[in-house]
Amino acid sequence: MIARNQQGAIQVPMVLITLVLVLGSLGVFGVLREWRKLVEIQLRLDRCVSKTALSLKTRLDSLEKSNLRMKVIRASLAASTVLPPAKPPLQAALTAEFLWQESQRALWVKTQMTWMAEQGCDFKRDLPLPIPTLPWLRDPPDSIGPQPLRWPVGTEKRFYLQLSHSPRHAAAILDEGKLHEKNGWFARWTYPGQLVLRTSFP
Amino acid sequence: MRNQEMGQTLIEFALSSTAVLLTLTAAGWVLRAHWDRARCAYLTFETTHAELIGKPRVSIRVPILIQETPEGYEGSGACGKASEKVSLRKIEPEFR
Repeated sequence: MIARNQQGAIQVPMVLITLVLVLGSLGVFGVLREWRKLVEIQLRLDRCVSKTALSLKTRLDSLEKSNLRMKVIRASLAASTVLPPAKPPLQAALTAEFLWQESQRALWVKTQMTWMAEQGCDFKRDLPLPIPTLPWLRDPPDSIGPQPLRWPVGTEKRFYLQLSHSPRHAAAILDEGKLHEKNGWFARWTYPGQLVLRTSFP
Repeated sequence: MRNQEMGQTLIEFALSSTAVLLTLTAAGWVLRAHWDRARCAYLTFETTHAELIGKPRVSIRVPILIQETPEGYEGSGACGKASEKVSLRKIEPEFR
């Protein structure tokens, strides 16, 4: 009946308004879905970078402590007061520290490769920046035994970690420093491009 | 057109228009509420995250209050009738 009457023509704009509103709603829901996706990506990147940064920090801290133990053992071995029966256990401990350090360095290389191969943490087509190589050097063994690791002079004690999934990024810095009377490596959030701006340890 | 038919048409038009308008208003209200909530959540997250990573904040119209805690950052935003709370953690406590 409406279609046949002249008054029914008013229904046409009504239908158009409804159509515009429906299309508008679809557009709005599209935007909302995009926001949700961006947040999900960011949280996933953050989780991955945070997990990796903490794992690297633990390894760096362990290596520092092991290096310290190695120096103490070497100092004990070098001391002329050490009794001959005490030398073999100390030398064994020194070798154990050396082997443990080498295994940690090998694990670091494995982490570097896994990081690139898995594109971060879970094969989600994220784009990782390579994890920096450990710059520690080891001098050839001397008369006491294996030498401790040595950080090259002039090399900054800092590692940068970044994972991206356009248009989002997650980045972290590992610094060596002192916080609340505690020495060690600390991980903190950063963002791409900030590294050159913040060079001092907060 | 007879008067009787004309009257019926007008009544039908008035009723259907009212129904359509009510439906559209309700849909618009629901959509607006949903939009406010989602926008609030998104902007609060973005602002809190920017604070967490030390990135300069972009000025937005929505008032968002950020508080630093030992574990991380907490952001509270209010957009119209919607409000949102976001809590993001530092990699290490007591450290950004």
